[in-house]
Amino acid sequence: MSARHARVRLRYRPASDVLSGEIELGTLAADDRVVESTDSDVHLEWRPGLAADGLLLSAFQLVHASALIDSAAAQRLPRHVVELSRQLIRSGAGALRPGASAIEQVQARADAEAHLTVQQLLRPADQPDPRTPPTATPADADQARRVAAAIEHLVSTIERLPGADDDLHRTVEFVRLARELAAVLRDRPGATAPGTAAAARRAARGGLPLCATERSRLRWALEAVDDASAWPRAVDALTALTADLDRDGRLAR
Amino acid sequence: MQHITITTSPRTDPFAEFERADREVQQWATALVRAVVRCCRRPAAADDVAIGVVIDVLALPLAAQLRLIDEYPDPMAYARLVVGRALVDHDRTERVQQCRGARLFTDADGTVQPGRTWAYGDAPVGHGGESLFDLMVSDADVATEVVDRLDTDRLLDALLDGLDDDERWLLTRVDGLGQQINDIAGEYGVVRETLSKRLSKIRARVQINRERMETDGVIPTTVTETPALATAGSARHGRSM
Repeated sequence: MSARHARVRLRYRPASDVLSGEIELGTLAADDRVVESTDSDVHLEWRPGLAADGLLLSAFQLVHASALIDSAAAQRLPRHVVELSRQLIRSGAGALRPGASAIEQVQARADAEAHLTVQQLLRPADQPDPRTPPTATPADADQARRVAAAIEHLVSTIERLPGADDDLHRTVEFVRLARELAAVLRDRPGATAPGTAAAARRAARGGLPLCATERSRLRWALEAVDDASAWPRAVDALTALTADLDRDGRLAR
Repeated sequence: MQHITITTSPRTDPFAEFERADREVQQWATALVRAVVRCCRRPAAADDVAIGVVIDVLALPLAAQLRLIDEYPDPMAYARLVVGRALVDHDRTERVQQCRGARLFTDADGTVQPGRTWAYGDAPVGHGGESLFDLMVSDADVATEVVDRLDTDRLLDALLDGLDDDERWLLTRVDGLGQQINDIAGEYGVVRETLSKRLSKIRARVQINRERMETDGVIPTTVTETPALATAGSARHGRSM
């Protein structure tokens, strides 16, 4: 670490799609720690800069990082850190060896190290200060439970659709991610899960036993899940889609 | 002539069954990594803790893994169950590796701090902020930065006066190295309560020695808590052993 540079260490686990990073700020920042943990998939830690005005990134972790890194949630990170992370995620997939055991898969990792300037670690100016209390009223536990239940109902319906076995791998992947999304929403009421939702949307792109319109409705509903204030609309959209799939008499009973 | 109908159950391919189970375990394990990371919310520790928890699961026989998945289909539920202890174990390991003693407690807000340093062997020596157990587990020169090694040995001997070798070893394992009392009890073939009672007597003896040393001016008086307060503190933190 030089006078104006900090060492950034990143670690990516491709099997679980988790990225974590630590920045050695040393004397570049004050000791105070500002934790920003507004959702279940992004955890950021900042320290007030001594060498520059503003908050400097000191640590972070992203769950479902490969899906999250291109979403709006990643814009809370400094742009250079996002770029480094993107490169590591891209190259990290190579750490997964086909035919490896479960332990080898879980342990597979890719590491990266870089030296960034203080300016490159500053919190983006267009992002609100995490120290100011949120203005929006947090969604309550009941709403979280309703969204989770609507997702699970839809998933169990999709599983029973004829054609779900045709591209089993895709369907299983989507079902697994959607169920994880429901579990995460229920686990921390009021908090969104933008990484898990983005991963579920990515899995819903093709291979599911849905027509293009249904897929589009599904993806719209999953986008609404990212915004807690839109959860009532998300529940309506998910419930309506489930009812339409059910009503069409397509279910393999 | 009597007609006999023979029905046969469809043959299952054992290899396909094994592959299916293996895939299920792998998917659950990767979801468990994410769940533990979400629960930890400490980037510096989360990765190590998550991989440690998952490897513990994957080291089980396949049948046991499947039973676990059956019991906890949602990995978040299992993560919530194990992550507190895993974090304490992780921090203890780190402290021991850094020669900083190992007794830690998790506070209500998730932060971890040294536990009850005034009462037991892990007591401050002078003004350096180091502790007797720090020095005891360290063979490195770090001890000489705080206090002369001979002084340290002398202080430690005085603090542990009246304890036999077994008692000193038990105290060292639990308070110095952070080993779990349940594990040690299993090793000795006794129940946890037996060792807990024995450890309480050992700690009481150390406390008497410590008070005597303070009265004699051998170590500075640093006690600010009363035993009653300490007991309340221990109940608040909960015993992690």
